[in-house]
Amino acid sequence: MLGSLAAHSLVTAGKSVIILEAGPRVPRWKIVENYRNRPNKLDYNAPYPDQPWAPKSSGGPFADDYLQNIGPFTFKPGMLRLVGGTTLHYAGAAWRYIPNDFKVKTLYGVGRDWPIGYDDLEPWYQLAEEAMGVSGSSTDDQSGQGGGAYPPRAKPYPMAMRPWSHYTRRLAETFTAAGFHFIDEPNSTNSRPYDGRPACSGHNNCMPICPIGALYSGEVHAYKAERAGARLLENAVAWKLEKGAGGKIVAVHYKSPDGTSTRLTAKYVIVAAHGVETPKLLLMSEVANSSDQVGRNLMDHTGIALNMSAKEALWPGQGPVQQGGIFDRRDGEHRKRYAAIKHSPRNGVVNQLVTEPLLKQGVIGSELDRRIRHDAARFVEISTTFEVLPHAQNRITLSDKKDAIGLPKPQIYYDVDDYFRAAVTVAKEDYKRFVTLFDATVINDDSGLQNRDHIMGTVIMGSDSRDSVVDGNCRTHDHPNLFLATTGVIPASGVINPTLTGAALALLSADVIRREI
Amino acid sequence: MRCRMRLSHATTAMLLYSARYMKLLWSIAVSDEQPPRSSPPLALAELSRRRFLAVSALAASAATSAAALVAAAPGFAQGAVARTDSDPAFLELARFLTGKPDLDARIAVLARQGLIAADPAFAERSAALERAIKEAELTDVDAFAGSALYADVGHKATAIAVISAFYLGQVGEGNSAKFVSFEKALMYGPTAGVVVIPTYTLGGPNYWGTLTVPND
Amino acid sequence: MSTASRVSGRLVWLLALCMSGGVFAQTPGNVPGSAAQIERGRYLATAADCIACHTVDFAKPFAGGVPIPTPFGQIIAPNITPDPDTGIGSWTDDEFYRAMHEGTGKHGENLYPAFPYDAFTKLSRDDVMAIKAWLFTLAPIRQVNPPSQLKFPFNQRWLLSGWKLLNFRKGEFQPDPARDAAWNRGAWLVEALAHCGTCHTPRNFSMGTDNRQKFGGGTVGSWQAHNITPDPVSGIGGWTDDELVAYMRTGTVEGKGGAAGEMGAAVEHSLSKLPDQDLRDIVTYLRTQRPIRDAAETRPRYSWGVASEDVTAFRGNEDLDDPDGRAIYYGACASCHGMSGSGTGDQVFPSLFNSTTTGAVRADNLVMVILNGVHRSAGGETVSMQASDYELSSAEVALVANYVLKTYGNPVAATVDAATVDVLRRNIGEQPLVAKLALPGMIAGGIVIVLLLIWLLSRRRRRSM
Repeated sequence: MLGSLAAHSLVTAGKSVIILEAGPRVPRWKIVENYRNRPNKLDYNAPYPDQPWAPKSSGGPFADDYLQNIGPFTFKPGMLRLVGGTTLHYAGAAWRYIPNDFKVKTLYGVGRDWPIGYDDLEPWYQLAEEAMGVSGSSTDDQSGQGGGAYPPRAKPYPMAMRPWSHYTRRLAETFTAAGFHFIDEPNSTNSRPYDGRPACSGHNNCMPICPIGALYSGEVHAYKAERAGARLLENAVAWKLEKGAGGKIVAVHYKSPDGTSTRLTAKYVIVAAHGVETPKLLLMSEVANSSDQVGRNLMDHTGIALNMSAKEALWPGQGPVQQGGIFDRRDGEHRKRYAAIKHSPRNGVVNQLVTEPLLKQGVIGSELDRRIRHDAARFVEISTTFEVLPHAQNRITLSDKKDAIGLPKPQIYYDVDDYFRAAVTVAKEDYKRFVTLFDATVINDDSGLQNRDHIMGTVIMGSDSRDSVVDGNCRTHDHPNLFLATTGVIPASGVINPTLTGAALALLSADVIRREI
Repeated sequence: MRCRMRLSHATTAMLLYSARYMKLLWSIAVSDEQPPRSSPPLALAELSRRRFLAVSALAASAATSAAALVAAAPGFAQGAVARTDSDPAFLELARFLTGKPDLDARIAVLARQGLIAADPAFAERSAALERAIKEAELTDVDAFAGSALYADVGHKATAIAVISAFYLGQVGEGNSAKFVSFEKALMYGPTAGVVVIPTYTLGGPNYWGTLTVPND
Repeated sequence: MSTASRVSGRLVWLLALCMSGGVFAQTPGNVPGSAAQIERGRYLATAADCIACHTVDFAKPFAGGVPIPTPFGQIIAPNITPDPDTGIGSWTDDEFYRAMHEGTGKHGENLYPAFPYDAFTKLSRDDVMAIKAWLFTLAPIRQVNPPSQLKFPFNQRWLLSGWKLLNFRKGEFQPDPARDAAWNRGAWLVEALAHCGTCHTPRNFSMGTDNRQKFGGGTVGSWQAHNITPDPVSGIGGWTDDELVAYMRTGTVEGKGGAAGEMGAAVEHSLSKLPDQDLRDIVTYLRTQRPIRDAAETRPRYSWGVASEDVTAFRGNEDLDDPDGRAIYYGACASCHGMSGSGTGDQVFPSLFNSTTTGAVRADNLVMVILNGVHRSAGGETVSMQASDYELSSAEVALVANYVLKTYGNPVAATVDAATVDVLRRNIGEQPLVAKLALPGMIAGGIVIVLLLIWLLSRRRRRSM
């Protein structure tokens, strides 16, 4: 998605652009039908193509053997390889970082500071919001402290916030009454027709695929770029960046599904290959790694979840799959001691989640129907995410194992630290309160650690070329014409979904390139 | 043959995007025991457009029909197997166990395929359960749920397997699960009209914003 | 000057006039420069839907630039803001009236009848002046539009004299004293202002409106403008008055159909903004037109189709590498229109059966809706269906259109192929507004005149030899 935005920005500025996409072009309607035609609806990767030359992260025979985990935690983020990329199955959260997120080392003594600040990024956040089409609240304090509108923004959101469902309203009321700050989630889903795409109509399928394209995804700008004159080469797996004189990257080599390789030359190169594949490509090419930081500092907003059955019929499943959350511990002095925490209720249709256990219990007949309705109306899932700090040992390297076209598979080591674990303890105390608030029965309050698909840190941004890969413009320290458009550049994870920040940075980079060419 | 044949083809959804040669294909034949309420049988002309449809299907006996002859044309994958999947006894059992007398015969075919794939002994198990239910003269599934029969571990497992297939729309779990149905999965019935079947909707943009919900 | 006082002193006529807001009467709206005149001008310009052709970017209303495609090239609608250089700021009252009344431009040149002066000629001078007065209150926008791009000989404006000779009768609207005020006002609205016949009346050989087939259905670019005569099968005979009014007000009527394309735009920018009585008067007038039946239509368009649920039959058996129309329908359409084609309960996503679009004998409008989507705001509702022109190939559009027609609509129309779609596709993005095919009319007319002259001359010559 980030590459699409950058490509579109450049091609509409009159530049000549070629987009290499490792995977195929699959129209949205086919993904929708593939989702419907398949079992295992809970695997969001499943309806997407599983090609041997560009495996996704899971959900198919090629994919399931792709990521090679060697650490204590199985790092398996949702990752797709096709035109549009992984934003084809995300829930659209479009948060901005708040100013303090950019200076956690200075303020809290943990992790790393960004080399740029909120004010540097603010105009690019706005452009990203306008490009993607973000609906959001104009009054919420997104730092979660119940103050006025925050963080500061020069212009309002492009679209008004999406209406809350009954479920979201009741949760917000209940949490608010208990002193929590529940705020609306800014989201790249249209609350009105926008940019030729329709408004959300509550198909409740943001993941794995919005059937109507009301939710932004990367293919929007990939196709816009193509219509504006960019060349979009599909099934073209970039595998080598060729170094030339002056530290410049002079060519990109890509492989086709049959293994043949093609060399393309370019004045500037943007690698926008997701937080896992981007460092993999740099490592394979032995570029941009004078700092030895490529692939290191791997972060996700690793999370946990609480499932409970509320006393009241709340009816999750109306409208989009997530609408807001509790942000009280997004920021504050506690970040000196434990990670920032975000609790987000999921608003997905839960019929499968409630029916499976009922059948396992042996409930059948009219009682089964009665219980499905009863339990579906009361199912509450709180999805919790934590800030994660960058550590050099959490890293992506090249595995000895090769994929179908002979490229090494990514090898991953990932573990959490005490800063993280301390926050889990706090979150679990919150869970006890939540259960009481809703007079609920616990279904599961020990989910274990979960992937959250927010890959950061793997091509980390910093001002010092000795300990970081890119500068504040996402330009690699080692190669003046090589830029990286990926959330992998993010040096401090905060606790919010990083997509919008990635988009803002991609547009910033594109603008730098535009001015240099 | 006086009775109409319905012919359709399945490709394993799991391999939809993989290379063509990878495709595992089979064809199924189903008797028209249950006249479809809405969907007309596929015209042959329409069928002929479909790739890999170098198949001709002939023959099925009338209402009881368990027989189908499917001839594989040249080039048809080796794995294609002529299958005899329509089983009125299974359909009857499934309708009894789900308490849904209008359960679609075509979905029952997929359910039975999946159940047999998961457990080769399933046919015997389901036949045994069916006999036992008849012998016990149980009137409906609720009576069955309260009967001694349901206390039998084997019969209970068989019943839950059948019911799960129709309620969840799949047999098994994870990526090895077998598809049975989606829109017609019975788990969606109890909440129909209140929440959507995912990918479908109940109203226009932002319709949920002003909705009142049932308090049950 | 008052048209009414000139024409009739019949009591019923005058009474009715009072009721319908003094359309023809001397009103403060005729006082030059008065607020009332300007307000009347706004009303008239809205009813005439000027904005449809004269606005590309709604942030720059009336600055022109809309390309109106015709088989002979593109006509570019001019800037009609009061900018003196690029708009009509320097036009005199007489020049403006002459343009509206005679189809003659500022410099005496013939105007292309894509500008429907064959309708506007029926407006009174007072009304035309009110329109001008209102236009001159708009912000002048300096915008030079590209010239119309017509191939020779169609770029020869003098040829339009031929078209005018054959197809244009100048003259203000004359009420029919035998009819009541509602009918007369409806006639004035339909004939002079809203120029319904420009699209809904087919064109004759010289591309003038074929008044023997008046309101019998025409084409606008790639869209079909349906028959709006009172015929119960082919026309609006089966629609109630309330339904017709609701259609013009909101663009959609459950069980009948929805407006897309040019009609959607006409509803959004013009009809939905008219007073209720205007819409009722339009209905009154249309009800009295001669019914015209299309022999190919055996039952009303809105009566075709039933709910159909193919889902059960094919789930698990789909070939997405070689999809049929049904697979495309479910993937691209059913999410909103429903797995049985019934739309949503609130009909914001309308049923695909009982729909004028799927019940027509020609698939054009259905194909255009698939390609272009629907974008219409009226009656407090914004309707947005995404265009599929980029995602679906022409062959796929044909497959899904045929599936929808066979399953939910008029199967007679299910003969779409990729070539048909390609032809219709060419108008995408070029014809957002009420584009008229009067231009070809004038051209054809001009050619006919020229040929006639040549023929006559050659005969004379031959005789003289």
